[in-house]
Amino acid sequence: MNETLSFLMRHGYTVLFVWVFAEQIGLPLPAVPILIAAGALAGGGHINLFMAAGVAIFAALLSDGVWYELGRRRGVKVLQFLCRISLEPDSCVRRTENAFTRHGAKSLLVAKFIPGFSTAAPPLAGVFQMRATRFLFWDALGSLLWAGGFIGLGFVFSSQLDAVTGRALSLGSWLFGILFGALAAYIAWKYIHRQRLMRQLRIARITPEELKQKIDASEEVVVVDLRHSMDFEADPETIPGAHRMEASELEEALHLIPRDRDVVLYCT
Amino acid sequence: MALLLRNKGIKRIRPLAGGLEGWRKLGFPLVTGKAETETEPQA
Repeated sequence: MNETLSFLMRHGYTVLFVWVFAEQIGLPLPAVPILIAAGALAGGGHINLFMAAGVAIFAALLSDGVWYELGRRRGVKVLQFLCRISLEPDSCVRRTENAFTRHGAKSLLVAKFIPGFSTAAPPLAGVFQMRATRFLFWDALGSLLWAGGFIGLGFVFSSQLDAVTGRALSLGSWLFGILFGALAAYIAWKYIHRQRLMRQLRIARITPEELKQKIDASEEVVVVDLRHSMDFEADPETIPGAHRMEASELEEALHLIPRDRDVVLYCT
Repeated sequence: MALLLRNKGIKRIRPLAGGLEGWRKLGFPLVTGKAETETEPQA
């Protein structure tokens, strides 16, 4: 462990750059502890505070730029891909679109503080064809707040962090094992739970032919068009008799959804 | 969304296979403009 710390001290900027870039590009590596550690190292005089902040901001801007460009060129498919590999894929696209619709470019200011939204916001800015200068301005401000905030936190509390690090070192590999095990168990539980529900929904899925038969036979079936308002504006055609709702409205109107008949949903 | 409703206890949720595009590809009827916007599903 001491070797790790001395490695961090020797290659602090490189580790910081690679780690932040990797997290922002979408790898499941939490960058916040590294930012705080960089601040603590700066507090101890091992690295330069402003240089560390600059490196972290540059790494974040670089990976965000890659996603922004992909969003511009490939459209909403990039966002769908990102959400598919996230831990909350069922609400990811909708949540991201809603946040962007409500706050526009300013959502880039806080995006990095919101798990999931952090990686999804830059490609969405590209999908919406936001001007590059506007994107850079808000993304740079957001990166400054995020990286500067956590590095500053580490800098201010560097002496306390030394004590915490000392305690962690005394626990040695046990602490690492427990933390790693807890994270692995959490991801496994989310995955298994999702797979089970997906299996149930695959069974419950209705084909267009079956739905048409039910409508023709005047069977009691509720059809709900859950497409986002932007998607609906782009393609205003819908199934006859379908109730159109924003997904957020449906969540608020749960008590109105009938339990005694099939509720057919489509959101694409 | 279907998973979310399922988690909230609404069991008879049936996602439309292929979505609106699947319906369209089969040449089934569509209406243009506003559907029954922001109405209660039970109405």
